[in-house]
Amino acid sequence: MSKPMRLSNGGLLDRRREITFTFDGKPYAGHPGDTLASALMANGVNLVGRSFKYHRPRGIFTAGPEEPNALVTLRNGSRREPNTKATTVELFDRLVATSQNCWPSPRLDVLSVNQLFAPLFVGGFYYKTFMWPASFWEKVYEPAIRRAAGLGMVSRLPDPDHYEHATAYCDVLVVGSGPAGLSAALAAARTGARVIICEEDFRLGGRLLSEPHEIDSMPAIDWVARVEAELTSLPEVRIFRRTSVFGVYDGGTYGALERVSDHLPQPGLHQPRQRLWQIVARRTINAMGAIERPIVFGGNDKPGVILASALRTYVNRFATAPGRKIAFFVTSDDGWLTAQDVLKAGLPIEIVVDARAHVADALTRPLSRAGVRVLLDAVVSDAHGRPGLKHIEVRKDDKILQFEVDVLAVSNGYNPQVGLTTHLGGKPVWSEECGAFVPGELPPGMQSIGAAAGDFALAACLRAGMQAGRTLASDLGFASAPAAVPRADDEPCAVSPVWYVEHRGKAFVDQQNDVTAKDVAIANREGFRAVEHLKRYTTLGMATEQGKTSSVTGQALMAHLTGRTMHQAGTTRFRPPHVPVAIGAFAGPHVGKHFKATRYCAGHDWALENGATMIEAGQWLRPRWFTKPGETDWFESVTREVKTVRAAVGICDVSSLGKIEIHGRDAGAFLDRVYVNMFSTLPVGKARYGLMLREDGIVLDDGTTARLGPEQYVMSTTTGNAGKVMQHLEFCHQVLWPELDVAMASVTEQWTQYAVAGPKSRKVLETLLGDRFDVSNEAFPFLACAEFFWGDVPVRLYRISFSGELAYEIAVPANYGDSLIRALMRAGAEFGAVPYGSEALGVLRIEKGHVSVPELNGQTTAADLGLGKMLSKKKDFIGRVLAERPALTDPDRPSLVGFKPVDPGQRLRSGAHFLAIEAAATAENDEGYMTSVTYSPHAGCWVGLGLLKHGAARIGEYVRAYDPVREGDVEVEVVSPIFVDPEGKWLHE
Amino acid sequence: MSEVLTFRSPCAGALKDIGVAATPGVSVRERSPQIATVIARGAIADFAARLKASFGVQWVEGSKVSSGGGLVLVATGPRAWLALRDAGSENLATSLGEGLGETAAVIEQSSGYAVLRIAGEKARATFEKGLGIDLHPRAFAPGDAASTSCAHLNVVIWQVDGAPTYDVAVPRSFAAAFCHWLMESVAEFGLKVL
Repeated sequence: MSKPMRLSNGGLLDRRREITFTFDGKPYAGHPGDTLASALMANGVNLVGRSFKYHRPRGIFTAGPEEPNALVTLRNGSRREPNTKATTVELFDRLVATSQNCWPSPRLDVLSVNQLFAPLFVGGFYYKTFMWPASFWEKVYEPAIRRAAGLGMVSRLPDPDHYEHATAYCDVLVVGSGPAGLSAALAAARTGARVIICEEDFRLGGRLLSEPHEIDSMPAIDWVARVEAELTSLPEVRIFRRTSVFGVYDGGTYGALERVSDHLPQPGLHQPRQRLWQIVARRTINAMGAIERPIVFGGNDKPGVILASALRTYVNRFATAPGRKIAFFVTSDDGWLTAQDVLKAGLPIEIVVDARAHVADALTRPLSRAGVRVLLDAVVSDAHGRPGLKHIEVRKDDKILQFEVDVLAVSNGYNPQVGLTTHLGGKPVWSEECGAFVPGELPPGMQSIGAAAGDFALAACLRAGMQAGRTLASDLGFASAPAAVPRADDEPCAVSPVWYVEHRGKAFVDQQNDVTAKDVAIANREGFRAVEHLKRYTTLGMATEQGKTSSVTGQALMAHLTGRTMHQAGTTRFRPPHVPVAIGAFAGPHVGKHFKATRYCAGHDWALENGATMIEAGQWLRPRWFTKPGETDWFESVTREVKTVRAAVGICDVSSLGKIEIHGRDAGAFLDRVYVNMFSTLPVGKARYGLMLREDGIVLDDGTTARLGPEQYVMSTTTGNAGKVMQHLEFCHQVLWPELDVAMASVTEQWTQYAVAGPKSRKVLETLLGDRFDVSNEAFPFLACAEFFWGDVPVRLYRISFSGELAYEIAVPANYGDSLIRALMRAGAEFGAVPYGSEALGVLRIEKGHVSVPELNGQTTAADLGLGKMLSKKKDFIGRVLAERPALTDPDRPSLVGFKPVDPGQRLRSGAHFLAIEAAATAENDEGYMTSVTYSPHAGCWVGLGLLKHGAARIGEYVRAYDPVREGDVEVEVVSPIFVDPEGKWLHE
Repeated sequence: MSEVLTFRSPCAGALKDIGVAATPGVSVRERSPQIATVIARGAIADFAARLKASFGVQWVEGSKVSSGGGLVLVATGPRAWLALRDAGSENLATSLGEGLGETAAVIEQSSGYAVLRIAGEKARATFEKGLGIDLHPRAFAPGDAASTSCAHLNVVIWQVDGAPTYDVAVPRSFAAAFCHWLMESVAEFGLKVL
């Protein structure tokens, strides 16, 4: 395939292989080694998209991640990625890219009429234009703006790729692999220190890939290869290519994004798309280099206007150029070096314009000798052409000269990459010597070297690198003999920046956000003069480019307008990320159901085999109900489960409840202090219900605690509070009473526990255990507990009941849990045993009037729950003092009672508020609220538990349960909260 | 009835070979040792003396593994250890309780953790994707232990040998989540389930 703008030789390309790609549906070809931008350029495609606000035609302005213009949508389908910088996309076979922000095409874009309304869209236009009427903002203005604004479109499909997180440690992290970074890495690595080098590009070398220098008498590119080979041979060196360090965090931690598969059509087998690294470095060498600055003149955003350093990269590294009639507008020596390279590549140069009056002969001579027109003390004031550059106007001695050109390379000195140095609060300082902001206070452990520190010349970079690498490693105890500094020349790098040229056309400061010189002037007029205000008011330096080419220029204009020096005006600090990072990379592998780990009970598989529908309880999955063949809805299944428990026997997995084993001579005393009731007097072999308060007197949690030995208790907690209670107990022991001889550990994971409940539960256990253990009422009465062995397997048995039925809980080590439930069901078969889930468990406990999570809601006291009598008067305990506060002992506090609808056909709703029958539904008349409701098969109607003012004294009264959210207004009777077996006879049978 | 309770490991069915069997970067074996939590009750010196006298294990201070005679104590806190011993006739918690007497509380945890032995040339590269700690030989050596998190899961990890071989204990209910992380992270290197 022909590539009209590809130079016939040169470049770091594999010309033997051709790879094909499409842009806006048209096929093109490039070579391995190309970026999308260089391949487009080689194919003569210079118009790449339209700008954000004015839809102006835009081309390729840079050759790196600082690109403000050449944003494309990469790939299609679910892998579509808008706003990708063509300058950073490594070309791959069958790559598909489309232009964005233009319709129907970049050449003919309908919304470019926006340019006609440009006066409306000046700085701050959002804030001014759409203010009245206020009610229009949400319904009219914002939706309209959102449709028109924004760049690119996301796919709206699930991301098909996998992302990884990883952590790496090193002694010395080197960011950037240009001459400074490579020599620093080499010097550090030779000491034996652990070194990580991160390079954003797919090749090491930085600017050495783009500039024809000699190092140690060999072409720079060969020197790079030699250093790379040595680094690769060292065992403690890791080279991360395609990796951007995007953030600096505390403790020497750096965020870095490795683009593992972005250069491939799709990730390989078992490969992530990207990997998000946390790199923990003891020392860091920031060798990120510098970015060339544009110049503000009319039409400076035309396709064809390009940074000179970028042109040099395209010519030398990618063997292409955006045109064949090239002009230069420079204020720096470096621009002349680029012009020399362009000349050497055989490309014609029309003119070189330098704003400076004096330029060294050594720089100008090679050009004038080749017949290139050179104009000193002159400026380019305007660039013209539609859509691409056609001619420029040059002003010299108040005369305007016209030149027909299609490329204008601009060079205005370099901005050191100070972004990372500011992440922990450092503020860059203006250096007159460098004509740029250089790093101020650096993050701990970081050193900036080379161009990143304003030290632009090659030999200086190499020297600084060797020295920094060796010094930092030696600070960490890795010594080495000094090595020779690679030999190279210091090229001229003087600059006298020109920030602004008098012009007629629109002159852009920030091309990505369409911020013009005029917008900066408006910000000044309206008082937004501080650099941070300037940024927010005009959007200068926002979006994916983050001001890499624009910020300093905008700040310089503001400094000029306000009569301040650059030092006085200052510059903005940056926040991570330094380059855009996909949200998918931050999420990493923790997506979907892996967002938070699921906890499985040992009986999980058995439950699924038996028709369980599961529910999340915290991170646990618990059976909610078990559907039998023929059952069509949950209500049918749950009602059957409840009825079977009341009539025969049911089995429920209670393994997820918290279990804490507490040992020690003072275990009883410890429990006395954390529970409101006594546990030191509990006999061995007995269990007791316990209630725990928070320090402020509110109920924390409840559960049953059993005494298995003189110095051994097992506490149970609710599923949701298991962690909180463990934390509370550890705090009490470690901080409040370290003198107590107590040791504790969570054994939630260790034991699988099943509740066996119902009048036939004893028969099931007799069948299961046989003569291994006597479960008769005489030998093992209500609230007994015991531990015994089943073969080698320890078994814990408790006679406790949450359902109100005759019930047991049996526990075995979880590795035998699956076996236990299968054995239990076999033993229960002849008694009609069924498994029941958390829904039936809830029905059973409400019928029995047992409180649970809806009542232990962080607002209730023991007295509110009818448990006030449990508060021991013989001892102190956590929460005792504050539980006596007047507000907590107020007799008007709502307390626990039961409710039944007066019309048995009515449904109750939890959350409904209680009102006197005739009272208006206002907050002043509120008398409490319903906490739990259920359909009770036992009562034959809906029943509820709730907190009602003076509840206990109002049994038999009627009140309204008012539920405006669900339009419920039900007359209910206040009843005892215990709907089944009020005397508790069943428990003891 | 003659029911017998049968053992089912926490990772049953959760681990599978990945890639070419001849050259796996990592191998994994689920161990099923007896486990107990051991918490010192009095002076550490008394505990260490009993440990030495009863089990011949020299106690090592710090986040370390103390081992001897098949018994391994992995430090999990300033006064707490996870004790492990391969399943045998004698119950670990019982023998520890007897051997350590008043100096420590011993709590049975044999089903509380899944314990995986993870080894191979790419073991470190795999752990890099989950652990926040440094496993480089200069930072973590055989005998070193850490209670930390791996991909947001609590784990106790200790190094067994320089192969390198690591043992990882994961709370049982999280075993499936850990295996999922392991399979996903090790996939590019290949995994052999032993």
